[in-house]
Amino acid sequence: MRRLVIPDEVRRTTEKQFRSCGARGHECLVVWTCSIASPSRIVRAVHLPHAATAISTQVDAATLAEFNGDLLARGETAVAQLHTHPGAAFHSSTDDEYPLVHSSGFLSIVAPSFGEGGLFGFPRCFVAEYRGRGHWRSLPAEEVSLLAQWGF
Amino acid sequence: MLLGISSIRSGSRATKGAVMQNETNESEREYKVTVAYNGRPFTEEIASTVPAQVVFNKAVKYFELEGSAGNLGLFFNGREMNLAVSLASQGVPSGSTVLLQPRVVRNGEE
Repeated sequence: MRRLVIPDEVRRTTEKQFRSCGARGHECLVVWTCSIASPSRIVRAVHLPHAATAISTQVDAATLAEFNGDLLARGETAVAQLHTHPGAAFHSSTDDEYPLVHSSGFLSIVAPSFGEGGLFGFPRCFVAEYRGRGHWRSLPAEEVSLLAQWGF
Repeated sequence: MLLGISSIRSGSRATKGAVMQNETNESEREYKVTVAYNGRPFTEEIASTVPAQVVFNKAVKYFELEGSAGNLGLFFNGREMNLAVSLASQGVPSGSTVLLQPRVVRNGEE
């Protein structure tokens, strides 16, 4: 099973962005990237400029082009997208259909309550893994608990 | 003799024509484009006249995105390419990098 190494700085940056959007009553979207040479260690939390409401986020093609060009220049790849919900965490049909990356193994992590519970241990988070051809697999709680090596 | 000269001239024209044809083919073959998806590059050498759809299809296969490509497009300088015509005809110079990416990313509770 894959295991992500998530530095404190990445976690804190993500939580800060979640709180910032949540304070305005908006959902939030953050992307975690790794070096292509070291695909398990998260190196950056990128808060993509997005439109948002209390129940949605949307990133346009121009923003995505800038982000993807940056990934190429840095030798990085996106391994997970994280977004918040105002209430419980789950994967909607919209989440299923419009992810950032369509490669098998890409992760989508949904944090409840605008992420106010933080990310350490992924409390009450919903985690899904893309399996290709539009299919997602929900990770069971025991798998989520082993997904990350936190800190340092 | 005149016929001979004429023949030579014709031959010369024919040779020039062949050279031009070769140059055209060579020029078409030399069109190189890199497609980047999620930070990873894939370089393809094709004829400059080939529709962008061919490049798109090859990239989708290379990146193992079959069955997931409905929301994907090829983008250059922030502009989505028309897949029905060649990249070259849309102002993408040989040696360029185009991005394979979603048209939009959405999350929502609906």
